[in-house]
Order: sequence, then structure tokens, then C-alpha cells
Amino acid sequence: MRYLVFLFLLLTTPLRAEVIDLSKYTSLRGAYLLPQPDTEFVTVQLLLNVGEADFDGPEGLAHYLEHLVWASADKAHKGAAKERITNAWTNTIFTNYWNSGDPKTLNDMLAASALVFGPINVGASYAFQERGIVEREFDLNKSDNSGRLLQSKMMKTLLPGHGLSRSIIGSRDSIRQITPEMARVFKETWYHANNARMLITGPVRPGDVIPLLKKHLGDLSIADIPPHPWKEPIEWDGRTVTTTVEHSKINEPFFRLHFMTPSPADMTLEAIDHSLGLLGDILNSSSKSSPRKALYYDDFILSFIEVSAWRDQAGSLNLVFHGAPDEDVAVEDAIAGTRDFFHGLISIPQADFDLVAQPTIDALTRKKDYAGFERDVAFKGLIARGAPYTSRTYINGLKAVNLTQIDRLLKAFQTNNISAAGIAYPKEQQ
Amino acid sequence: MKSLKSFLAVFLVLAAPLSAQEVSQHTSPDGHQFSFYHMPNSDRLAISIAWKGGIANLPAGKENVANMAIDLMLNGGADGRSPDEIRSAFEAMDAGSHLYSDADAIRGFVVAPAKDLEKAAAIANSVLAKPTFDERWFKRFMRNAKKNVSENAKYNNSQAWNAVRHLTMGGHPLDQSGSWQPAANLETLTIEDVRTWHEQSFSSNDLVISAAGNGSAEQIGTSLDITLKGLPTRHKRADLAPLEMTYSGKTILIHRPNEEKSFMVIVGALPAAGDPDKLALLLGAGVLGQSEQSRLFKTVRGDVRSAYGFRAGIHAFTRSQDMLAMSGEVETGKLTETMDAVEAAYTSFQTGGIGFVEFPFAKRIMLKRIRENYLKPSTLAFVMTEAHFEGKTFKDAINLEQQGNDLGRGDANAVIAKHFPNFDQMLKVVVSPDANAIKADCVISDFSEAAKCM
Repeated sequence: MRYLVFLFLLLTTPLRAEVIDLSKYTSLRGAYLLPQPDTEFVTVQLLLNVGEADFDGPEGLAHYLEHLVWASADKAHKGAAKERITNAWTNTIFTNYWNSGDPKTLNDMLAASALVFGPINVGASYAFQERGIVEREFDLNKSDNSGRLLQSKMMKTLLPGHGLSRSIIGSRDSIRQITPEMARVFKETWYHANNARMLITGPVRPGDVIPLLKKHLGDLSIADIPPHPWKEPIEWDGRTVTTTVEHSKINEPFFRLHFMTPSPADMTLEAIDHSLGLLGDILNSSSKSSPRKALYYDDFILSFIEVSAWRDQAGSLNLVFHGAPDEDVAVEDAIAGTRDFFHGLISIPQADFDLVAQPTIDALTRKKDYAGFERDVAFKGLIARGAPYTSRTYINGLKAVNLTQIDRLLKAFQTNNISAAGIAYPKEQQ
Repeated sequence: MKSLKSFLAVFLVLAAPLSAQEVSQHTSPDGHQFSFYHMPNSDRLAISIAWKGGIANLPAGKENVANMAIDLMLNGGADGRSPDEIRSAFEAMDAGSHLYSDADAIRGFVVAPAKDLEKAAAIANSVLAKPTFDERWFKRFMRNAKKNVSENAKYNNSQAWNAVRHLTMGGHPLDQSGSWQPAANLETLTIEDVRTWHEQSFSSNDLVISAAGNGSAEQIGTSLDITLKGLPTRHKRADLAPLEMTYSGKTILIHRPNEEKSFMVIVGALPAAGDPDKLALLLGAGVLGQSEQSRLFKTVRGDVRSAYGFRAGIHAFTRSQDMLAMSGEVETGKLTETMDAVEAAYTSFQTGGIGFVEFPFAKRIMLKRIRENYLKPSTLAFVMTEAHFEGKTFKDAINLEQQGNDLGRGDANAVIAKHFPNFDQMLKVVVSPDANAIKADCVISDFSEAAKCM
């Protein structure tokens, strides 16, 4: 009977939720497997610690390189049917290549990941034409997006010359200055196995993965990785800058207020990320601690307000208020009102914390066994600390946040900050 | 050995997938009939309520009252509670709700864990039965709507799509309600229009109610009664005249010299939303233009190299006819080359269908998405309601994955060949700063002039 119970448990216990470190089988800086036996597809994410902030030439190079490398690595199936979906993205700090498909395509996916580190295998004319494709991407995603254009200009005004202020996609002018040769040289500097981490999620076991990891990623070249330029310290001198853009697609002005502050040295990254996330949620709620309550609902100063908060990889904490003035309110007065509200916020009341924190915890707890949530949380960990979180540790981290930590961050933003105010005005067309 | 048999019996019972559930019919204590699909593995309950009838009771030019009133109901306070109190009450729960005006019904959803369903239903009831309709909030929303509609018309894709509506819908009221154009009509809306629309539109009769999720029919019945409490017994909504869409096959150029880029959309007729071949049509649209492996992506980005992406999709302006649309932003200097390449790729696909190599993976991706979506109670409640409007059985609506499994390449390709419209019958609208970028049957400078191109 004991045998039967054992057999029953063996057959029914899902192999889930625990991250397995497979780094030793690869040349990568880290490689992790999150088995998800109930899922259908395997997803392989290769995260390189390189982004636009690592370059100092025409803006948009890291993203352009990502296009070339993706096209090059996508040839891993060697003419056979490509039974996987794949894409890539770049930001200021990271570049990520991902593939997803049936477990039987894991070999192809890991072969494609290995090709990321190989020479760029596209023709010269393709490489030049791809610059035009990137320009079309700029047209599609940024040229009409006054909010993104404003945010870019604000960062350049607040952190002039700093890597974090670089535009990821660049501008039409900067994209046209980029050459395939620049991309090749940049790749040689940064695209090495010891500057990358991998996360594999899906219905596979270590025994399925390890031989393939060894085969494709076990013997890649490594190199000295130069210091990241974006680690250059930011001067926290309390400066406040203002900038404007004009855009023909808007009829009325709107604004952004961006506060930056250094991470508190005595809080863990996990505690900072969770506390900052909740602070952003509280400021975005309809509680009394939110500018939405006073300035949108009660006083009709703003016709729109959204708040976002995040920690960047350089260690700075960011808080952005995105708003628009209501009828008969000048945009400058709307900014002043938002700033005054924020600086007048002495602390977050327990009731406001509870209003936001508990439903957030409930919602995440509800999702904790969902494959997509597990994968997202694991990837968050890869970005935040270089190793995946599990759902359980992530939710426990959130539950551990207390009001004192949130107030610490609020005070940091209020007292030790640099800030930028940006206004987008309508531009009259000729 | 006997114990092993017993063990296996227990094991199989525990490990076997849950057998397909049936939709059951119920009546709430207050007499509302509803269909219920029990999903024991879900953690939510979803109720979908459809108030049958279109907006034919509205005067011409006031078709956007429905959208405006719903915005005000959801975000303008109710039952003596301010807008932020309503929002706070929802924020305090892990729940959600939704309300919108569709062509042939108003559609409402309440989704919550079983323990919170009654609380969520009470909030939904206050929004439905006792909205505040405060003049100050009405003015705020009107101002925002006018700004959004006016700004929207500045974008190339909106210019193209508004022209498509004008050219295919023949002045039907659904054009105004969907596009909010002409924007001048918004000037005529008043808070009294909103109040009247609300009084005439929500009722406790003429409903289609579907529920799905993990809970009991009793819980749903109770929450349903809470949601509908106090609504008038009858409504005055009426169905619109059928929308008959027309596709001229022409190429229309909207010349906008101040723009820096170009956009094109190509649209044609597909069968009704409830057509038995819908799944094959969806699969066809997917292979044609919904991933980096699609025909159009490979053609436009990979071969012509004129766009970041180019996609195909199925749109539904009316339940009686779907629309196939292919669209993307395209390099101005390559508009003609792109149009020619899209025509060639499309025609090849229309006649040749999905390839032997493409088919298994495309079908698998589609089935995976169906499976993932059908895990959500809100999806099931929605498709059950749609089944009612489309005259389908619940079994057909719920067993979509099985239908997909049964779909073979030959059958799918026969459907594509039969239903995908010929390219020369499709309407093409191009927005460009270059008046000569493409050979056009008609050139205008704004979508509002589209009638000149009929």
C-alpha cells in the first residue's frame, strides 16, 4: 500500500514552481529552468545585459542591432518549418530574444539562442534596408506619440549626456546615421555569453534541457565586459528642470512630472521594487493619498491623471505623474497643483495602504499558479536581481511590504530628488 | 492486485480531465432566466447580461448618446455616491465590470470571486439603476469626447478607417455611433438626452443572461436579482434597419500634404459573424497576416521592405457581415510596389490557401489561444450570449476547440477560396502626403469628403 501511495504521489504531483539553476551547464552568466508541466509550449528567453545606454553614437543602435541579430539567429531551423514564435526587444539596459514553441523545437530554440552570439548572418543590402524598417517602426510607435517624445526630451534635459537619457529607438536623423559596421563593433563589445542570462519555462525537465544546453550554449566564447557607461553616478543636487515639445496631433496641452531619487541603501532590491510598485498603485488609486482624488474627482483641476513608478537598473527610483488640465485651468497651474499635492503628502494612511495592497495581494495569489504569471514573475527576477523569482517568493515579498517602507520611498522622492517638468503644446500646422 | 485495481480506479477518477460540462438553465428568485456553465477549476464567476435591441429609438445625429451615457454611468457617480466612492468600492475587491453599447444590444458584465459577487452586483446595480448624471461631469466628459474625436481625426489610420466606414456603411447610424463622426453631432447632445436614453434603455425584460465560473446557480441567481433590482419592466430600444455594407473595389487616396508618412487599408466582405465557416476564416486571416510568419509580413516587410509590419484581421461592424481588412503604415515611396505585392500575395493565398507546412502550426496556435481564452469565465459567458444572437447552440459555442480539431486543411482552404473576396472587389484607402504616390480612382483631402468617392 505504501508503494501505491508513493506511486500515486509520483504520478500526480506536478513538477512546478521551483526554479532549477542550470548555469553550470552553459557559458552563460546564468541559466534557469522553471518546469511547468501543465503548459503546452516551452519559452526560452535570452536576456543580454546590453542596451541603448551602452552606446555613445547615433541613438537607436542597440535596437537596430537587435533587428539584425534576430533575423540572423532566426535561421536556426535551417530551412525546415519553423514551428515556433519568436521576437525580441531592447531597452536602455537590456536586450531580450525569445522563442516559444512545442518542446520538440527546444533544440531549434537553443540553437537560435546560440546564434545570437555568432556573427551577424545577413547580407549587406538587407542590413541597410533594415535601417529603413527601423525608421518605419519609429514612424509607427513614436513619431505620432507626443507623450513618448515629451518623456524623451525630459530625460535629456534632466540627465544631459547620461546613458539613461538616450532614446531607445532614436530619431529619423539618428537612425539614418547608424551603419551596419557600428552595429558589428557594438556587438563584438557586448554580445558575449558571460553578459547574458537565460530563462526556460514550460513542460520540460532538466534531463530534457541539460544535453541541449551543453550542446548549444556550453562552449561559447566569453570576454571581458567593459563597465556600463550608465553606471556613471547621477548628481543628486535637487535640480528641477523644465522642457516643452510641440506636436501637431494634439489639441490641448498635457504635462509630465518626473521625480528621481536614489535607492535607499538599507532596503533590499526586492523590498524596494514591491514598495515602489505599491506606492505607485496608491498614488494611482482613488484614495485620499492619490492626486486623482483631490485634483480630478474633487476640484476639477485635472481632466486626466496617471502615475507610474519603477526602479531603473542604474538604481534610481522613478515616479512620473502624467496629467492634463481641466477646462479653464492653465497647464502651468495644473503642474503646480500636482506638485503641491505631492509635496503636501505627509504619509500614506493605513486605510489607503489597505485599500490598495490587499486586493493586489489577492489578485496575485489568485494567479500564482498560472503559467503566464509564473513566467512573468520569474523573468522579473531575472531583470531585477539576475535570478528568477518564484510566484511564492514574489507574493511573499509583496506581503512583507509595510507602510514604513512606503513612507520611506515617499519621503525620498520628496526630499532627495531631481525632477523634470515637461509640457506638450499643440502645434499649429502650416 | 485487488488493491492495485482500486488504486487505479481512484487514480483515474482523480487524474482524468473533467468531462465536458453542460450548460444548464435556471431561473432566479425574481424570475430572470439564465444559462450557466459550471467551471469547477475557475476562481471567478462571470455574469453577462445583454439588453436586446439597437439604438433605432434615438433621433438622427444623437447616436452617440449611448456611448456618452454609459461613460457617465460608469464614471460619474451613482446612488448618492461620488464617482471616486464607486471606484474605491470596486478597487477594494478583486472584481471587475464592463458595460458597452453594441449594434443590437447593450452588453454588461460583472466578474468577481464567488465570495464578492453580491457586493460587485450591488455596485453594478447602483450604476445601472441610479446613475447620478451630474451636469458638471457631463460637461467634463463631453469636453473630453470632443477633444478625443477631433484629435483622432488627425491620425492617418483614423482618416483611413473613418473613410472606410463612410464608404461601406452608406450613412447607416452605426457609422456615427462607431466613429463619433461627424464630431459636430456631439454639440447637440444634452444631459437630458442622456437621462432619456437611460430611462428608455435599461429594463428587466428582453434580456439574454449567461453565467460561467465556479459557484452555484443559486449564487448567480441572487446576484443577478441584485444587479437588476429597480430597473423598469420594459425598455424602448429598437433594432436598427439591417446594415448592408458595400465595397466598391475602388482605390481612394486621402492626400494630406503635411503628413510625414503613409497608411493603407484594404477591406472586403466576409460572411456573417455566426457563419459555420467562421473558424476556418479566422485561421485564414491568421495565416494571411497575424504574425511574423504570416504571408503579408513576409511579403511587405521581408520582400518589399516597405513597412515595420502589415497585418490582416476580421472586423465586425454588423453581425450580418464581417469585414476582412489588411492594413499597415508603408513607406511613401513604395506605396504602389506594396499595393501590387499585397495583391499578389493575397490572390495567391485566396486561391492556393494555407500551405501544407503552414497548416499544422497555425492551427495549433489558434487552438492554444482558444483553450487559454476558454479558461476564463468571462469568455464563456460572452460566447454563450453571442451564441444566442447568432442562432447557434451553446454546444457549438463552447466546443470551439473540438471544431478546430476537426478542421482539415482541405476544408479550410475551400472556405478561404469560397469566402475571401477577390482583390479587385475590395475597397482600398490610402492616406499619404504624396498625391501621386499611387494610382487612385478618387482623391480627397479628408475622410469627411468620402461621399465624393462613392
